[in-house]
Amino acid sequence: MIGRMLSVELLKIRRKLLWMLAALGPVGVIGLQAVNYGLRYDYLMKLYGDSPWEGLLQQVGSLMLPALFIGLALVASMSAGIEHQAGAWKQLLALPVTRLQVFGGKVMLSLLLLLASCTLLLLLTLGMGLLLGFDPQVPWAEIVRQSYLPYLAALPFIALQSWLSIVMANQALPLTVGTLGMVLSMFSLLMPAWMPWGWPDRAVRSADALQAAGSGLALGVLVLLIGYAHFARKDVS
Amino acid sequence: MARLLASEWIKLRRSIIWLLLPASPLLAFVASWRSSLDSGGAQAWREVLAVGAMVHGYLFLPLLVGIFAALLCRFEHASGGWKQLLALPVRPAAVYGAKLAAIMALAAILQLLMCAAIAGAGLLRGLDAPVPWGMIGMSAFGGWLACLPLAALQLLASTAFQSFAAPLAVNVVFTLPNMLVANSRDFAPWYPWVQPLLAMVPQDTYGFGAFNVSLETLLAVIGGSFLVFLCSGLLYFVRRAV
Amino acid sequence: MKMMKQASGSWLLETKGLTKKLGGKAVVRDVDLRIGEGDIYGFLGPNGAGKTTTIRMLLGLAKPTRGGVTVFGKSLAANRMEILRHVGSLVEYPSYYGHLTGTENLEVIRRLLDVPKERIAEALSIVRLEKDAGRAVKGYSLGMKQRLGIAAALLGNPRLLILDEPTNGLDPAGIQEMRELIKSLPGQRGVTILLSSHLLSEVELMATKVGIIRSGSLIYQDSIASLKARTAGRIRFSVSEPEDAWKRLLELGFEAERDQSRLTVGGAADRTVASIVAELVRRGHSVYRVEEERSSLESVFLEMTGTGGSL
Repeated sequence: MIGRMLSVELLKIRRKLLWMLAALGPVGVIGLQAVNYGLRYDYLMKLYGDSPWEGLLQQVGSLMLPALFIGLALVASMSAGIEHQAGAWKQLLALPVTRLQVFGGKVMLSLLLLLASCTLLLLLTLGMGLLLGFDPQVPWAEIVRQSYLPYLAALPFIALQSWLSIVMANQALPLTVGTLGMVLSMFSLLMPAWMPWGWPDRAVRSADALQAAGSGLALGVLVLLIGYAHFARKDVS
Repeated sequence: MARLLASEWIKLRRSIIWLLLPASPLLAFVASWRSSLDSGGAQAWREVLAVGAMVHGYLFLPLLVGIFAALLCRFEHASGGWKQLLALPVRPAAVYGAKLAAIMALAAILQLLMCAAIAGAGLLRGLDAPVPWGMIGMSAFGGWLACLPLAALQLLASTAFQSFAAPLAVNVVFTLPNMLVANSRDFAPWYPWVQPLLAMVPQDTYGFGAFNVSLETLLAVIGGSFLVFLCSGLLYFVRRAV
Repeated sequence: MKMMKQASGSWLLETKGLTKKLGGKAVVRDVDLRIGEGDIYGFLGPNGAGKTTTIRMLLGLAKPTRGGVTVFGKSLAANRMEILRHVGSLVEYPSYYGHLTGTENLEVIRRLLDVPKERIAEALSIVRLEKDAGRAVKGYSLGMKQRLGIAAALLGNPRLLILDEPTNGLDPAGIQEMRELIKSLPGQRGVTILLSSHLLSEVELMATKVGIIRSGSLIYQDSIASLKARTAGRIRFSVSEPEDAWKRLLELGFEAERDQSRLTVGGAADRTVASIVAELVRRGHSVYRVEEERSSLESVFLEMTGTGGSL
């Protein structure tokens, strides 16, 4: 059933800009870094000395986090927006599918698209490093960590944005919340550790990266459960 | 035109915009209140303003202008309001102008709140020099002026796309590069989305990037890009209306 | 009246005391719908009377504040999935993904219903959309979107079809077409249909049974034939010396009413009319006219729904 829900969601985003948006994030981040390195190659190489990979990851990471934050809000809004635009919630929920499957299908679509984004970013980062002629001794663990741990740490926000976007016909509020979240996340250095807006950043740079990702996973599941409980009880108009 | 503006006001009254407006000034207030200062006297005010301007101008201000535009057009997209609005005895260009004016009015309110936030932060720190209203006001006004081209472009995007997400995506795509562009002496003066930041941070506070670019250059870039975006937006809107 | 004979519990769809409160106000109150197998049930009422809210509850889209829905003899609350597999619906306005083609729109639903691919072509041919099935739906006319909505409702080969205002917004030709389509379904496919409308004239031509809802309460539910019987005429007699004649008729036990020179008697059978005329003539009255006054179905409906004029 999970597979069937996902296949339906994928069918619905045919000819939509959703795929392009998911690709745009990583391509934009790496594109900007390409310009950055193109213009300031000597400066940046000197700055990071004998660990050019680490430098690249740091540079990429600083752009990746805001892109992830706003990207997840946009993806969640657009995937739920398909149903709002089609007036299809009533049709969908009058079919022999459970509300859990409908809710789960939407969340999984967003999770899948964002996972694809993170993977594309990993590949592009790798490609860029190799093109710049960095040491072929690629720091795999570092690259994989940076690509996927922030994704896990951002799970509470994926859950929140999916929930808001699904239950609200007006997408202005969820997207405004998403935008504020993105800007807030830029001040993660000033935040106490319990604030989730700082977790994706912690998942990139700090020693407690795994803890940040784990907390994200746990809180994300919790928010999903709350969101689902709300959706399951809601009358559909 | 006055009637069109009044109608925009009615539509805005019950909007989430009012919850949104204080967010950035509040954050800027906290940042400039808590940040550490290198200097005292009048120079300290300059630093407080710079911190607040960085927080507010880097991303918030350009992004908010885009959200204002999208919110103002949402009413029309949501209920077939464009049809209704354009069927009234008003010129399409006036409708477009009223929307732009409403965006800039909201931006003005935002900037006024910023002035209050900066003054409040400085006073709370107990800075000994009097509040430099002139400098703060110039900074807010400059940031507001620098929003004009962004407002024009976002209005174009918001009228062109039905969904709220699409114009926001456009806005983000152009605004996020600020994080890199602001560092570049060569590019920043020419990049419209970083202008609000450059206009708000007092000259000579920071010795890096494009913060020392002359006012004349900035005005030329702001004015030029505003004209380009406004004309293309108007052309698109008026053509679609008929 | 076949369906009146059915024992309780054998209805295809039955609601008991169905009530929905929104913000403390009951928008649907104690509604007991009874729909038999093979019925075309016309669910009538003015706009805002609670039709759509009731239908949402029949589909599990909204939860009743009180009361329950039984479909195919099973409780909807407990057997939602199993019941919905055999129910097709079109609520208010058709749902469609504008960027997808007609076929793709149906494919979305087909995958969720898990029925064979052939059903798509079948459903498209029932609503005669085969030619346009490859086009994006955003380019369809309203009538075509409505037909696509019906095709979607038919995709799972439903036993019960619930159509909320299926002719809303259609032009006269589209209405005619939709009417023929709906009438043909029970015969061809053994479907039972619930269709709502605010127009009696609309339902009169299709329905076998009607239920009328007013401000949330079901005020009438019976066969369309019984509703029509309510329009049975009153007989009007124009006579000389009407005062005398009227008294005589009352003495004889006829419930006659007098209005100046005219006497009217309600619901009179042919024999009664004949004996009244004979009696009046015997008493020496001149009978100038005997006329039947027939109220229209529409006016009976308007009287019941208390909306007068327009709905």
